[in-house]
Amino acid sequence: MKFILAGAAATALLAASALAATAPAAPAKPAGPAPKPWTATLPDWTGVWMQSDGTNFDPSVPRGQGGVGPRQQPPFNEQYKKLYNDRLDSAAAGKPLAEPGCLLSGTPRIMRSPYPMEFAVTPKQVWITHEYKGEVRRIYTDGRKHPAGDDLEKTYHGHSIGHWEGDTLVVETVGLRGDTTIDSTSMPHSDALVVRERIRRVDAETMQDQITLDDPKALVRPWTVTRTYKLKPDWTIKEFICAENDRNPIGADGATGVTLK
Amino acid sequence: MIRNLLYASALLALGGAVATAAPAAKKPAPAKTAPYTARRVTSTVVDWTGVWGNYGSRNFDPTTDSGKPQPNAPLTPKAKATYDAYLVARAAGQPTGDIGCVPEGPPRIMRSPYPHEVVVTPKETWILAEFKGESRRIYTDGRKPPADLDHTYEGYSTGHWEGDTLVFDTVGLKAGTIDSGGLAHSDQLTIHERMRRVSDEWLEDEITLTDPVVFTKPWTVTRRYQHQPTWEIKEFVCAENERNPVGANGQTGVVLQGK
Repeated sequence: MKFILAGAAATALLAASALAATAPAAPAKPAGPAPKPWTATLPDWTGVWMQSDGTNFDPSVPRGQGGVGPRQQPPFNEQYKKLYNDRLDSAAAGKPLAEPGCLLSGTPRIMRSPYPMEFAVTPKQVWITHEYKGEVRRIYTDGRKHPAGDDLEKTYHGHSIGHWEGDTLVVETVGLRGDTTIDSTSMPHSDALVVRERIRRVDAETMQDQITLDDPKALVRPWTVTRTYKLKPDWTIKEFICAENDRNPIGADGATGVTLK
Repeated sequence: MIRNLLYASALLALGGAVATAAPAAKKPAPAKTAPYTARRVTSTVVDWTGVWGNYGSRNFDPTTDSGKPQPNAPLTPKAKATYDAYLVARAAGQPTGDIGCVPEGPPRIMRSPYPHEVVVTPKETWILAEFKGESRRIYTDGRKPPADLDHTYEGYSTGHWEGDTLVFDTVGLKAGTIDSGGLAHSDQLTIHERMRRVSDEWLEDEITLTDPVVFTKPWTVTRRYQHQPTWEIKEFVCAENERNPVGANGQTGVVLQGK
């Protein structure tokens, strides 16, 4: 649940909290000592990882241009097959569906972004932070469940929980919006999409994510692809300011470029 | 001390052996590939898990009320003239403008009214802000800022641990604003921070700004963040402005989460 601070209410509350900052009131609960440091043995996923499979969601299909070229074949039902093919036909005719612009790629699309990412593995939570638009995925591994009912908001990245099976992080993501796309070919999905992932480091320089899309409104059966990411020891994650479009420039020919390291 | 230093010391010998053997069986590794042994690491780091709500004023100086003047800022005469002009314009109801969907960057993001997470790992600590989804990366692996430093919104942060205190410096910032109350800084700003969890409930950040263009001396404030056990960081999409609505009166609202 949320509460909304606006107008007078916000002013009153902010004034109250500012006042509290000047003369701190006693906290509602006793402020006990800070918890002890945690010690844990966890998979080492440190470093900057760059995908090596291209920007089609399905890495087995080479990327076409503007709807021309080989088409990916998700096991869509008739309705979504037509929706996807109509979009590709429209792109081939020079009228592609608008891209997300400065809205988020979201999950699973961000996992095929042509920019690198980092992981942070801690005992209770894993983060995947992407260079592209600075997007952040949070995967809770502390045993919590997805929010139920109305408490589950539909968002670009949804709500992700996971657990470890050996060194494999097993993730389930729900609560995804239905109006986003799976990749930049405008591949659609519905708001019933559940993304199941098995992420593991397979060797010193390779991370793998086996991604299964389970979308009963769009797919006749779950669809699995495996994507690969390579360690880039000399890279750091750079700042990406979509509002300034500094890392994703549009050239004179209208094509969108990718500025990497 | 042992905090944060155990990265290389404790590989699981068995796990390492398995990881080395498995890929090699399928296809021979390229000659240059080092054997994969560092599959797991044992780390001891401070527990700053959770969501930290900002506490207090939206002014950078938490001893002043949101939107009120901040007389403690040790402004140079020129900076003071600019700041005073801002205060006059705002008092007169003139639009003063703000930064829209570009990042706040430090130090401004540290007084954002939205919560933060602090992700502590052996080689890096991240401060992940709900507001605009901003990320600060603080490298604690011993590296220095690059010589060919880009000036960015978040700058370049390096630090080390002194016991349970993360001590870090940020350089390479663009000129920008210090808060939404009219204080500005130059691209020569450097920030020194000492961050520590002082109790179960409170995280504290002592922030010192040094900026020879704007300040006559370093300026230190201490900000506090309250642990919010029932919160999760929510998605903030500035381009949709759904969490930061502008009301009919032109006032910007803040949509937070409750219990």
